[in-house]
Amino acid sequence: MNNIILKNYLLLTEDENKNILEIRNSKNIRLASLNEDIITFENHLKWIENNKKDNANRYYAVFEGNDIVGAIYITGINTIRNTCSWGLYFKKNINIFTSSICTYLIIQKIFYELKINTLHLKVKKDNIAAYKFDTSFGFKKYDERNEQYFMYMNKIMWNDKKNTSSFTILLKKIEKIHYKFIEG
Amino acid sequence: MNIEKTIEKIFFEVLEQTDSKLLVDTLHDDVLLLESGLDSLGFAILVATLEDELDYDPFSMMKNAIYPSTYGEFVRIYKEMYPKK
Repeated sequence: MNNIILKNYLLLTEDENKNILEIRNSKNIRLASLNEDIITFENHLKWIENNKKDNANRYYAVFEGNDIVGAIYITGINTIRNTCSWGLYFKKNINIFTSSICTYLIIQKIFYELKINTLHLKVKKDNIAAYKFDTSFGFKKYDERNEQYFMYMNKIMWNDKKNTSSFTILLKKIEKIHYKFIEG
Repeated sequence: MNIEKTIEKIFFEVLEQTDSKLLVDTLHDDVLLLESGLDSLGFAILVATLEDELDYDPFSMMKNAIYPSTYGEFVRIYKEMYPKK
């Protein structure tokens, strides 16, 4: 497969910003998001400007070769409580490994680079595929309200998950793939 | 080697390993992959396991990768990309 690059939103060119916003505003992704509204390009750029002053969030555009195929992000980084949340979205019909590899990379980054202890996420109850995906990665549901499931995973749970036989074989594959975070 | 049977066997093994269930009555060519019971992580594990078993990953061998939407297309890609030795 092509190299995977995860490029911080703060470094995206105008065309790259347009590409990522087009993916975010596509119907299937918008309707699966907690905020279903269409985001204008102007508001997207304002939001990026605001993120420059905010160390609690990191958004990455995911490139397969030269093409942007989706995004993965860390939000609400709390260095006192050592917690954060994360999320992702991807176009349809992309490499079969991309979403899993990016999820693996971001979770590793969160636990081992950012030294976070507990990782949270929210997923809409009707987004069964995402809920199943998160569960497969080892997240556990701890609450549900407002049509959303609240899930968490800590570093111990993650390390246990990585030692399962199905993950071991996936990790062998991930080791062969070239990837890079571009942080600026 | 019967590629079709190998894929079917490993498909069911991965379903079990990932605590998933077959969501259709039978696994046949027209089954949509995303409605089969495996999620995207499950398919990544399936392809990685098949690479271990068959010694090739057809998706990384393609110049312009095509991603199957049905089980039949998935199996056909493995058959068509089988390395000629």
